[in-house]
Amino acid sequence: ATLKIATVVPNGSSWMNEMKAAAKEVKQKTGGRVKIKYYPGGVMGSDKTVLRKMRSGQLHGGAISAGALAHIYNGVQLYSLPFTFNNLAEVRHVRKTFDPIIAEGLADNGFQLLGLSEGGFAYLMSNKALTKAADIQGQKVWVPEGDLIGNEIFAVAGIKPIASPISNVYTGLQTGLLDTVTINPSGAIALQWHTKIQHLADEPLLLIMGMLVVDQKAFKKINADDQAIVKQVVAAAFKRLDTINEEGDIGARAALQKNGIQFDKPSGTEWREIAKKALINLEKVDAYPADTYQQLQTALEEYRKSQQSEQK
Amino acid sequence: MPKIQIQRVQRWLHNAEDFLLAAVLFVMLFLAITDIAMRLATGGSLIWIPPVLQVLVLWLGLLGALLASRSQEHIAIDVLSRFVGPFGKKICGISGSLFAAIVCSIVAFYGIEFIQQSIEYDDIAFAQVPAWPLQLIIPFTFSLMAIRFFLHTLGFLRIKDYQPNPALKGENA
Amino acid sequence: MAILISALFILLALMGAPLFAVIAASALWGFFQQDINLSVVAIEIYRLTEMPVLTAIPLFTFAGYLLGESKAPQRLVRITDALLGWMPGGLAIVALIACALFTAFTGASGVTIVALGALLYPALKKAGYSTNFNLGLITTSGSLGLLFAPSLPLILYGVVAQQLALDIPVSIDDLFLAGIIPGTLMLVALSIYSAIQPRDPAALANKTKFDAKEAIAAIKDTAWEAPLPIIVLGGIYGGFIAVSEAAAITAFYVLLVSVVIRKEISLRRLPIVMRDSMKLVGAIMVILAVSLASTNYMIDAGIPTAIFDFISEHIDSQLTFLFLLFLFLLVLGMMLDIFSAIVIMVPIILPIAIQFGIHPVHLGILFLANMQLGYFTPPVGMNLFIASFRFQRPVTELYRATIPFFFILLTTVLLITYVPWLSLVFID
Ligand code: NA
Ligand code: NA
Repeated sequence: ATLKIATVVPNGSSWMNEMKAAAKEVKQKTGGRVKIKYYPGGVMGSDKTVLRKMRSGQLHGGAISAGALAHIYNGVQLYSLPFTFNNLAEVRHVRKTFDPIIAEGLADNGFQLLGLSEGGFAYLMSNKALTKAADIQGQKVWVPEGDLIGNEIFAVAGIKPIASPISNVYTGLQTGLLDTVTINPSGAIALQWHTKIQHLADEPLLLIMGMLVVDQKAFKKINADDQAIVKQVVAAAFKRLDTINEEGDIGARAALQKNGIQFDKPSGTEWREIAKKALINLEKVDAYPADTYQQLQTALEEYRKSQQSEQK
Repeated sequence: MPKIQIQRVQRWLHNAEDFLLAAVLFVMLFLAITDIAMRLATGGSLIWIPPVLQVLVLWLGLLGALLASRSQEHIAIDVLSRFVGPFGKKICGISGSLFAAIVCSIVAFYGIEFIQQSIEYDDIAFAQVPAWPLQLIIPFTFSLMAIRFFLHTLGFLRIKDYQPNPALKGENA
Repeated sequence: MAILISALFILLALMGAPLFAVIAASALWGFFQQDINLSVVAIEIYRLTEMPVLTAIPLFTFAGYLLGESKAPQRLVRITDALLGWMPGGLAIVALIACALFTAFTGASGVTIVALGALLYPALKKAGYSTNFNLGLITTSGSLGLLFAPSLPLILYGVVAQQLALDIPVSIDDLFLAGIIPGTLMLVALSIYSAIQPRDPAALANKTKFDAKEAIAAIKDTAWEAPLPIIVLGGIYGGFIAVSEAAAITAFYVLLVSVVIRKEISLRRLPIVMRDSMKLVGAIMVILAVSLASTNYMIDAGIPTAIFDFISEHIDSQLTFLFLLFLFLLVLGMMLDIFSAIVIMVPIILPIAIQFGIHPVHLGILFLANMQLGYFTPPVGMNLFIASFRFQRPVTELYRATIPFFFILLTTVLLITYVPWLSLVFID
């Protein structure tokens, strides 16, 4: 069988290179019974279109951002809620428990989760230092079109963000139509946004998550042994990708600093209060699974305590 | 159905299409201007305006295409019919419009299947707005276009020197 | 079978079947052959909602039709005549510059021909140029200006190239700089050709000297139109509006001036102008929509990659590569819309081009320069059909009218292709 998988991730990126390597390995280990064919660079359309094409049967899977599946299963937003994590160690600790929960939720909706990857932390980047939460007032803040969570957090912070497609952001920054964005360091460099901003508020706003899902009906057509091989190989590739992405972001942070971008320490407590209020509002519209998120918070607190006692 | 009644239905349909098209264009212009004005006035914008504008582009495009099919003003490489006689012209006209009618019917048919899939899987357009009502425009316009092209086929079959575009009447003769 | 079906589709196209139906049929047939549910065609049509830049098409088209219906063309003739009428080829050069600016802002989607063509065609006619020259000039100008900032294709190329993790960085600022000389070269070449055009002596007879009184009167006459470029350009560079929003401002402003202030278009006439303009928008958009589907079929079947793999296997020198690339892009530009062409082909071509020692910024400029030519390359360049539609002329007449322009720009494209310095002089 051939699994046709599409993504907006560009060809030639390290992400695609790993995925191609995984496809090669799958082909080899299944004796050519399972092939994976990729359609990178968004040639099959946006994440939403990829999902539509999975329904029509043209595609079998997609590597898409977590947000694109949120209306089908809101649990995919679990790691991407604002000001949840302080560092990647925390993320990796809770993933052991919560990845299976997300996989199960997707399975209930007909999607086989093959891989879940950390795309790095996104930070507020701006033309001025955003140290106090009130500094955001009067800023022209970009949010992706239709991003309910992003919109809500800035609304609670007291401003109306500007929703526009990602392709318009660079020109927006250039003309001054926008001056504040939320993105991870390597993304800022890849999209050249770093040439238009001077400050980075050094507090992780949210974790960008990507996932590889395939249609369960298509996946079930593969025999059980081969299914296991696909799962195992792709999972290993995603593990490697987490490391590659982490290193990429460390390098990107250094490059940002070298480019003269100032790293400011914002008030974490203020933002956490704002996030809390936003999450209460978002719970009302079912934007995330509140119970599971509560469990995640508890798990995080325990982990933080254990880390503190270890340090003592 | 008697001829008079068919004409009445047709006229009603034409008026409805014209009205819808004008309304969509006005709404689009209004929203685009509101978006800019809001930003100038408050520094922010309404999150739903850009995605709505993009849906309106689709609607406007397809309604415009429907309008163009009424008088067959679609873009075409009309080379052969220039070098053939009246009978050749008739053949070109019949096959071209019948072909378009069939293609539009197929697109309309699968457009309905597309919408069924959308409803079944809770496809969303943006935020939490369901996509299927917005996607209805595809089977709607393509089925009406199929009818228009079929009527042109009949016109070519029955009427001597049939010219679907009144503006061009006589020019190609 | 495949050959038979393709031949049938081509025959039907030549017999005058609507182009969108032919493209849709080829997509339907392709997907059918691959056992893919044909609802993907509807999915692809719905992708029109994923291209924010498209908002500009109906709004600019509407504004253009309004301007065309009003007395703005007459006023433009008057003012250009008053200010530049003494120059050889004055109005034609102004037309070229105006079209280039307009295209830079609208991204060359046929909008220029519709919006400015309506305005310039009668004006050029009055200034004494031949119909053939007018049609050629306007059709050619439809894509002129693609290389000037803030052209959307230029930005799109930068975004696509940036994500390929190349060793040589490609910044959008660099692309804006790189486009200046090649874009100007095209303008100058066409201006020289325009300046040596013969004109109807009757139109030339009445004005040969500069008249200050008339110039001031003409400026006053255009008082309402004059702020338009200032609002749009100033708005964009002042950071008040995005490039795509310029269309909304323009449409709104023109509506206000022509219907409410000048009252040159009556409220009864307005729905007709709307209908006529949206007919054209529909004709363009439905082709764009179905060509998304046919392009998608080609991608699914791996056709572009197969073609390019074949090419790159059989050549080894940069000169040959550039020449084949030039031919390939010319055909591509003729067949595909520019945005799809960039999104689909740049990720395939760019890595190979770099292996042949071509700078990614230079590739971007030559890619777009070729696309510009493709817009009016016979037999199926998109702008030929748009002009044919707009001016109600047979497309064969436009083939003839654009020939001299085609060869002039062909020469400049070859220069741009083989002299990287033209693109890279401002880049370090
Ligand atoms: Na093209
Ligand atoms: Na084109």
